[in-house]
Amino acid sequence: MNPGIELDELKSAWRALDARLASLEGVGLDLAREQRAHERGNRTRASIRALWPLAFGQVVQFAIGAAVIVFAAMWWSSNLDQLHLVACGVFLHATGIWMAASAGYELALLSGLRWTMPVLDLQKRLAQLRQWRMRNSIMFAWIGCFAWVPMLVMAFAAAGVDLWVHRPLVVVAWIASSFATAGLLWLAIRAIRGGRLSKLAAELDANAAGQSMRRAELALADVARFEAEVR
Amino acid sequence: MDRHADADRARFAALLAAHQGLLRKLAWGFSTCAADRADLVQDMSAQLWAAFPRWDGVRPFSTWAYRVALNVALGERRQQRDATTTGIDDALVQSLASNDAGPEHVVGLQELGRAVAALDPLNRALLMLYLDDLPYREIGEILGLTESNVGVRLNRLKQRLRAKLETS
Repeated sequence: MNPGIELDELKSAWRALDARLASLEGVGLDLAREQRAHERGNRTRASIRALWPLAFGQVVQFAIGAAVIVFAAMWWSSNLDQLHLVACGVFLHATGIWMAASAGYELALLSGLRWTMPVLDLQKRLAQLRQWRMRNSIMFAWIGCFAWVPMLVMAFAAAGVDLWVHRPLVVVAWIASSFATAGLLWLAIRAIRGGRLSKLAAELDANAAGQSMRRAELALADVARFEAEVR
Repeated sequence: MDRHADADRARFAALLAAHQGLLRKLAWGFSTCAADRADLVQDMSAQLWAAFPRWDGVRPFSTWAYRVALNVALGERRQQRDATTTGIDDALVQSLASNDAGPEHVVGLQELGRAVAALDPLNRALLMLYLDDLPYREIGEILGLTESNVGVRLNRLKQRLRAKLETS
């Protein structure tokens, strides 16, 4: 021990001890707070990372949409003398525009998600994204009902067989079946919106949102739970 | 009924907040690391809350709290008998004397850590109560000793500490 230390000095050290311990405790609390913020950041980042496959899918969709636009524009501009082929090209052109535009819009929604945002804000944005994906998938279902007809007509024409000229009834039958499919789709959507087929609706809803969305929503719910626990 | 319980809780919280330094220091004297110390403070607080209905309000809260908290600390030390030989956390003694403590406290805090660590649990408690300037009667009440017994034990303890301080 140090020479010169007296019992009275131990007393003054004892009095100083409390302030010292309190400050150490404060450092501990700061560290714990920092650790909690770090943990929250990790979890939120994980929820946003879960959306990367979705973003990748949208980039691919945008590229396909752009390719379809270019191909369709070349198609109808080189077949200006045949109105039915122009109509097929324009339909495909519009489809390509929708594919690229919807992918762009979805990418914009995704780029608005920041892990530093409050969880509630992130959850709202994810809900907005989910709603958009639901509507967009219905839109693609409508497009899909009809798009296959001009695509087949164009494919046959490219192979040297103009179906509209040589087998117009076949094309009319295809168009009729497109409308029939669209009618069935409309009935299904009405039944789902009317509250019937709730099990199918839930399944369609989950499929339309996509696995990435589900993972992100689960991870975000985990963050919300974590925040509630440490509050 | 609920209002009564709420009032009790608020009263206890206020008393605990006012005496948290007491618990912190006791826990420091009976733990081997920061995590132990935090656990011990928590155990002491929980035990105080459990025993709060039995506090008569006549004795000072600090005396009663010392007694309950020391029982918890001594009880836990008995359960971790091996730990008693290791004494107080060295890292904590060092951190107490780190550069943001005033220079006049650096040596004192280190000496204090060594002095407390060198004692058995009962003498450790006795020294801490003495350093807190508690009257012998109150120390006796807390440790379950007579006033004269406290005097005798404290004299011996002081002699021991002085001898150690002089010889080192």
